[in-house]
Amino acid sequence: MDKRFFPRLAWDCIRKNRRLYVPYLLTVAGAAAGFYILATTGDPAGMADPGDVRLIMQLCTAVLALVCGGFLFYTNGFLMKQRGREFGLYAVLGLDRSNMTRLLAWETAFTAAMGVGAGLAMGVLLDRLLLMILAKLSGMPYAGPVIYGRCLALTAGVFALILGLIFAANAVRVGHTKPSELLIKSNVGDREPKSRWFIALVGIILLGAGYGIAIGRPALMQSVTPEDILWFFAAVLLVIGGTFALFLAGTVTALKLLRRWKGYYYKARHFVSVSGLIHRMGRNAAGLAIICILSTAVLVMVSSTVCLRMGLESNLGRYFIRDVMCEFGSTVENDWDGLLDGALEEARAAGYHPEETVRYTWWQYGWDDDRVVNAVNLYFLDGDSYEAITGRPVDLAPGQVLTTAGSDTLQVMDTAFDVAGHLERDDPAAAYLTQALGLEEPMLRWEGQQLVVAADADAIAALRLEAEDYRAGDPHYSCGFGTFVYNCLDFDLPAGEDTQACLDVIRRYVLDHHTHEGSFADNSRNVGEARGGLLAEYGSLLFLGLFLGVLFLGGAALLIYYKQVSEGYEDRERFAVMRKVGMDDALVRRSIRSQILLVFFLPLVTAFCHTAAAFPLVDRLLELWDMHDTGLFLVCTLGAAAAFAALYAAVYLLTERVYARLVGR
Amino acid sequence: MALLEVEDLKKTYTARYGGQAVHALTGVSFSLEEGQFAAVMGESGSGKTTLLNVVATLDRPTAGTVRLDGRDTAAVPERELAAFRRENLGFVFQEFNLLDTFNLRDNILLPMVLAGKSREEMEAALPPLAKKLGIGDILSKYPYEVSGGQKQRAAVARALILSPRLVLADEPTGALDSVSSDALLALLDAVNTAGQTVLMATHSVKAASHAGRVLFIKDGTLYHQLFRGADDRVRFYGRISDALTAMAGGRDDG
Repeated sequence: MDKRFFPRLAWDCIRKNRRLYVPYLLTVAGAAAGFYILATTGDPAGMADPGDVRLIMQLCTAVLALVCGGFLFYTNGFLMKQRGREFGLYAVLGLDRSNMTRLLAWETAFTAAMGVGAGLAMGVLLDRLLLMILAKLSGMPYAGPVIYGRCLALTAGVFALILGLIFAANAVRVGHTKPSELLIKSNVGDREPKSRWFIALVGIILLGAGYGIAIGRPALMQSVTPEDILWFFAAVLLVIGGTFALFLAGTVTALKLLRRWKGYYYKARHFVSVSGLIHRMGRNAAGLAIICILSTAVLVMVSSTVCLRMGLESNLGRYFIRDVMCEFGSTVENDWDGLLDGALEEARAAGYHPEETVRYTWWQYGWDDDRVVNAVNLYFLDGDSYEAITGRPVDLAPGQVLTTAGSDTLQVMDTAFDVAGHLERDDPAAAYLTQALGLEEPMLRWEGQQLVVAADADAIAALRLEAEDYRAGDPHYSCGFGTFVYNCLDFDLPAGEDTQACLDVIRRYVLDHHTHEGSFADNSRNVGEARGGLLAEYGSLLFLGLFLGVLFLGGAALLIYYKQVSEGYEDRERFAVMRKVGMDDALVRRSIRSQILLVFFLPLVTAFCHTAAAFPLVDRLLELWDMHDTGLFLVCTLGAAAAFAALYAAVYLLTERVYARLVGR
Repeated sequence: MALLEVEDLKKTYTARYGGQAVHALTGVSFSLEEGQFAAVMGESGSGKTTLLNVVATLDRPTAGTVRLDGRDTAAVPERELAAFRRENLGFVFQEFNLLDTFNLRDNILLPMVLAGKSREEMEAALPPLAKKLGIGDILSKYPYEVSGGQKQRAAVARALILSPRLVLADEPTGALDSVSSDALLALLDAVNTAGQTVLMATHSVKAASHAGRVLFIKDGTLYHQLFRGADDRVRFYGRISDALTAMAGGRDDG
């Protein structure tokens, strides 16, 4: 036989079946393009910079591979079913099983070359175009044209594998059917799909398990670890499986129940829609499931990334009780009160206006007696700073202190203090230090770690000097405790003054004036710098969220459009007949509307359900990015849902017009 | 007064881009009494389907009037047309035009559902009709599960379910084998005998011989008509054949 016979025959088959093949090729191409774009976000050279985010994107990519595989299998099933008669004819004409397999192999090769090739080209172009537009809109830098070789190879590989598996399934299917059966099969026409209780049940179980993880897991989590991302994806896979099963089997079953309810079914409004939908669902269920899954992905990604970005200021507020928070540590004697006074003067001279100034000092020291190692963390606040924080003056005699822990006396190194009183649990000064130093509140409540308020800054200075001396000369210096005495100065700056530059002035002053002996540590931070850092991190996450949101939304919109058009062509004849037997235009429109509404709003409502179920787990996962504001996340989720519903409705209205025009006249 | 009066009916189609006008009907007049069974015969393109479509209000006349029960169909407003068709006309098509998404029962009930009839009315109307048409036991089947003859009987049932004033049948036997055709024609005979007025367009002399009256259409005009009178079907068949031959000859002469 001529070597070119099978490629030619395969090419002919594709051309003759273009009504079936073009949509299939478009599906392959669209899936490949989407996959490539998603893969680039998880690429080490891609936009997902921090490791956690990259892991998430890689998991998303894996999930998409599964979804694409399932969808293509399903779409191909219809293609093959429609071609049953054709294959029967080949069999009658004498093509045996191995010939048929060769034919299918060539068809698959052409499909792969055209579909995946077009998909990769589309992916590369779309990826850059989307990035460029988003970069323009958000003011982020645009990297210029980049092609990710690794992702191209990955996409080609994954789709070759999917198409290969589909080919194997087709070959088995065609090989195992007798020609006569193949000839008969396509005569059957569009049989009414059966109710599949078993699959519906499996769907309910999968969905229940996924929801169970998403809702139940957060209660079991002490603190969130990146490992919980894996739990999240386990839930995602279960829910995707459940969604597919429920859409495939559940919808038909539910519609048949509706049809059995005669009072409902035999009404002009429902009669045509319900019967049409039963037939349509068999074919459309997978597409609707995909729309639902894409919609859920858009909702979760956009709501969480928007939430991070919107929570930025309140998040900064948690870390920055003052705009500039200086913390200098030293191991040798220094006049820190004088140093910090001088630094503040320098800052004022440079045109800054520090206000709400608070000073405190803290250190850790330990001693070793009778083989027991004692360690103490003490935080000292002078009377002025206490007043600055609480608005209440302190009335203490020299030698008297207020403390947060219980005992009546306080021994600090060689000095004994008389404890005049205890700070209440909700004392603002305790709260301030807890927040400023990132402590947990209960930690200030025991002898070894407490807040000490002394009226006199000089008394604290004397202690500090003692501590530095103690350190320098202490034989137990090496027993592993912190080596620094920390001196802190927090203040606010009026809006518009550069916290970073102001901190630089203070730093320079301190560096220039402290004793250059021993060690020196600088843990100072300022809100301006932190805001910049978080803006970059959250901004790029938001960018990623919007990027994928647009990608998935676009995918969903295209699917919706494609469905409307293809169904419009199918329904055209049905509505023409119904007009002839006395269906008026108003009723045609009404029944079109009720039908489309059901088909299109089912995925949307399901997506909302999924998003609601995902809420508790995603809320906790956001802690990985320091977001702890459930209220804000709720607002963002509701906002995203509202915006998405509006966009979805717009897509629906636009495509409904197309559909109505197709069946209208 | 006649049930259906057609007066000097004209229908001209104009191609969209200023092409030549096609005169499908150039002046047809006839009337149909209640209870009559009339066949319209003519070659493809003679205008018989156009005539049927205009009578069916699926198409608007260019000139002339169609009166059903004395009411000018052209005066029925566009938005009431569907209801008008539903209440007054029943349709039987060559290609059955049953909907694949409905089983036979629901296909037959479709006009009743569209007319907003109650469940009780449907339960009352369907069984006797289905029994009369011999499809009582296949009502739960889908169109793709039954034969052509059964499909056409379901289509007749759909046309009759609302007891229309006039049944219009366009080539009802065109897609049927001869056994099914005979059965269907016998059915139409029976329906007509029970008092139903029927207007049928057909190619088939045999089909036309079941009618009480045959209208011959040629080049858009009523060329000739025959009444069966006291003839039996075989004789009437012969007369129709002769008339067709004469008509064909006439064209040769012209």
